[in-house]
Amino acid sequence: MIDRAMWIADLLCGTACAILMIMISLAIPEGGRHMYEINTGLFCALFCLLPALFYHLHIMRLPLWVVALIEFAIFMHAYGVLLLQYDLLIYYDTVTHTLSSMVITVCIYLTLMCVHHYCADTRFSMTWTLLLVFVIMMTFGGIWEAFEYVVDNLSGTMMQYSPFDTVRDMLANAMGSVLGSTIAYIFQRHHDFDDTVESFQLHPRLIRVLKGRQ
Amino acid sequence: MVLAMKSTQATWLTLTAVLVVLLVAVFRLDLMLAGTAVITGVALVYPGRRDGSCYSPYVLRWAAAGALLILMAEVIDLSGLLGGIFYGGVSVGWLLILLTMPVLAMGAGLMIASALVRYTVLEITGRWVIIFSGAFAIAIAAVYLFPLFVEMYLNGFAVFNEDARLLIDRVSDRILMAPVLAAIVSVVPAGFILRHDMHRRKTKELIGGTYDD
Repeated sequence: MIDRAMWIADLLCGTACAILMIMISLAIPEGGRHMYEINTGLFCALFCLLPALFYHLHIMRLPLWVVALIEFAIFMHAYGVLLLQYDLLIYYDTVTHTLSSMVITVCIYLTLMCVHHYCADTRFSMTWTLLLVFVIMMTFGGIWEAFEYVVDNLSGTMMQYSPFDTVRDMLANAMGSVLGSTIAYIFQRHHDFDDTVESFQLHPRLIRVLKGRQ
Repeated sequence: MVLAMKSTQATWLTLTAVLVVLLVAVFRLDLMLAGTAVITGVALVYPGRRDGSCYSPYVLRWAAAGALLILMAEVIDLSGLLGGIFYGGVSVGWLLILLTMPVLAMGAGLMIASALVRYTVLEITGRWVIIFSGAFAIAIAAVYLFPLFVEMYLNGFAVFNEDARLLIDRVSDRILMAPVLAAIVSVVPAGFILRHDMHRRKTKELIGGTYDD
């Protein structure tokens, strides 16, 4: 039997995927579209289905608000790429970077909650968790920019427009990380820790991975 | 050398090396190196100020090695041995300093994690300490982008979209990405060495002994 929250989550995932597919079909006949845009749109459309797939394959059950955040972030990125909003709107890039970083921060935080819950020799404190999440986000941001730089040099693409663009992306990452940490902190204050992790209904294999070597 | 010393002596020796790094950084107006040295110095003296304890020699060795490596790189750069040598428009002397900075930052990360284990409810395995130390070093390099960008702007480099797209050889991108790339290159082998060091070592033992030992 499917619960109401997951029914809404399924609807969100399906709708986001369907709209992106329609946008891809509209983008293909237009001139000036590269395979990069189409491939990104297709990848994002399929990625939108992941939370629903995770639930139906009994891998994990993500909370509705997390599913909504993930779908919104992916949709915004794909919409920008497919309908050229990244080029047309000045601050679109900053908004999507901030949003993506916020969602990733929340996901990292929830993962750390699961590790804390299942791993016997690991007990995280709030200070540590927020510090670790921020450090990991800045690290991911740095590695991503290095990746863009290397890809640009190897393939001649223009993922990095200029140093200003790189620094703006990093600033957006930092802002997103702070926003995500704030959401996580508020969430933890109002929800029971163990109940939240149990509600994820993680697959036994995932739990074994989180428990680590005993 | 640090391993053979008493904890007190090793702490003071490491602190001296870190303070020399700080002096050099201030002298050369290197904000990020100065910041890293300050973080390391504060983390180094914190347990002693709090309850008179000090880090185990294994932790101190990282901070000492990082500080000494930076000082060696600074001496090479200041002596002009690598003067005029550039790799893709980036000074090799500066690259050498960037390659050594993450070792000191990893030492700082190691000390911060050890202090949190000791003074908060935190319980983590050695793997988490290694992950945090490595991530901390790369995060410091990522933060370096901000002051570096300002410095490049003030020195007249092409930093904005409209200026950068006119360039065929985009040296400003290479200079900006140098700290992060150098950090990634340094953190990977350093992480393996740290993993070897941490093997079978309990995180609770990373701060051990007192100044009276």
